[in-house]
Amino acid sequence: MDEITKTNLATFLNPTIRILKEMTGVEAIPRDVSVRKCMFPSSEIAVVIGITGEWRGAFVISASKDVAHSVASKLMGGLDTSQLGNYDIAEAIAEYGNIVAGNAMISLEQNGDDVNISPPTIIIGQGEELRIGGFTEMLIAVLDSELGEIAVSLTMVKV
Amino acid sequence: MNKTDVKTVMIVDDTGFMRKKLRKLFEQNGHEVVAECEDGNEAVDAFQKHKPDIVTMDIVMPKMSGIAAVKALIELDEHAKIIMVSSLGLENKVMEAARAGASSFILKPFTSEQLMEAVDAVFEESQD
Repeated sequence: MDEITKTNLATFLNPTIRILKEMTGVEAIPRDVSVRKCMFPSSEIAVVIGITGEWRGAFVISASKDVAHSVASKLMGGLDTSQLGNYDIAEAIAEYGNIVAGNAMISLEQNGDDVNISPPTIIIGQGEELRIGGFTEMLIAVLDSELGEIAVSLTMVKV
Repeated sequence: MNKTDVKTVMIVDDTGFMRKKLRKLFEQNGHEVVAECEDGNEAVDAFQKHKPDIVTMDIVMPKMSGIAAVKALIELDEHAKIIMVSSLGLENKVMEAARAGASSFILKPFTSEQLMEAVDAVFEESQD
């Protein structure tokens, strides 16, 4: 099976940055890409999207609750997030993750890969650890933005 | 017929955030949202009740997918105008939606202008 590469991460990272800018006006700059184990402390809000088909894996966007609130507010056109509960915030972030993953799928399809994504899983909490089953390592890039840090993690293998 | 006449709209998307966004865009452009649905099953019921001029439809939804819902709505009304609004712009999904009877496909993220252009195009086509 082919191993995940930084090129694979770029397939997801580029639309993460582009769509954040298109939907919110916020610029995000990636810091160094690093490898981490597929079991790691979760940020307060994480969106996990499964990848299926010729590629199998998971794509995770995660951030602190404060950052997620800020991103959700921007996604909703500047809405005061004090009016929204955790679920509304997580749903906005999940939709953002869904749009990013959907756009990444188009790139993979253009490369000739038959792929699909699962509906997003939203995890809200603090101090828990996430474990992506069936995989041992993920690539992670941390994005710096005016709203704070957003982490983009990816694990995928070609089957 | 003025292509910008007020249209009644039914929004189908499992994400509340997206339903709110679409509602806002349609209302800002003078259209009336008559129903919001979280899945294809709700969409079939609401379509029969409200008979909207136009439907926006997500693809990946629980209970009944968007494409299955399109087929069901076309069974009810072969002239139903359905715009797929999805982040899943894979060629096979676009083709599947078209074969099911969808009138148009917009990829998320989209602007208000893109959405309204799609609405106008669907109604222009129906006058040809």
